[in-house]
Amino acid sequence: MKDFDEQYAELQKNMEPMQEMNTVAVQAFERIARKNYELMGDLVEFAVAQVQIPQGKATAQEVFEHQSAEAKAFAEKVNARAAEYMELAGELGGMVSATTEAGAASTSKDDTASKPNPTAKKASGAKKTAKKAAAKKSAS
Amino acid sequence: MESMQQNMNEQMKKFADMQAKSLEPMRVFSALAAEAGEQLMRQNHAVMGDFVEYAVKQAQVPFNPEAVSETTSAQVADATAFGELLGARASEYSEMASEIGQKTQKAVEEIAAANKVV
Repeated sequence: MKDFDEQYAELQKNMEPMQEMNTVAVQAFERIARKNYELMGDLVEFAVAQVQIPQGKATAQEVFEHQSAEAKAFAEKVNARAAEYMELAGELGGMVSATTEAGAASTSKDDTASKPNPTAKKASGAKKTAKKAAAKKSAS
Repeated sequence: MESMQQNMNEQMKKFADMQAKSLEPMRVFSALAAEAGEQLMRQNHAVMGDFVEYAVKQAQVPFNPEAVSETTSAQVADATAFGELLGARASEYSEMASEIGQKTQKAVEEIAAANKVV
């Protein structure tokens, strides 16, 4: 039975691919959070502009026209932001799949390395037989 | 009949003019409120930015399973710095509130003085 340290080391080794994924998750979180912050900034700017519109305007018609123009500009900005979000989602998806592929490749490499090599086994078997024969000879 | 209608129109115009004149001082308050709203929104946005930075920093703290205390102390240091930043932000808020209060008081005094003259 393996002791705790061995089990822990094995667990750590098995969790290594997850750490790569964790790094990707942190990057994704950072980029999404910053993008949300930018969007909040746009909202603040829009709200400030809307509040300031009635200042110095003579008629309600003038105010309404300015408000409509601002709202239209804001809608275009939000559309642009939506496109940026889509782009970001695509980039993050690409990062995740690249990390997954890299993890899968390294895991299969490890498996190949840990699997017994039939040629090597044969060679070691031949060595053992030769040793036994030598031992018999020396005994006789 | 026509003269009566004309008289009525004149009265309505007079009423609208009087109403506009009486509401004129309120425009100063409207401008003040807009300014205060803008300052407050920008300050809130700045605080949101601090929260984003803090959250990103916390997420980026490298986790070392062999030295958990290192991770914890890094997180605690970040949290302490963030607490200090929030304290500074709170004082900025109170400074802003007093500034707006002073401006409002000044506007009230000016309007009162103007009305006295009238």
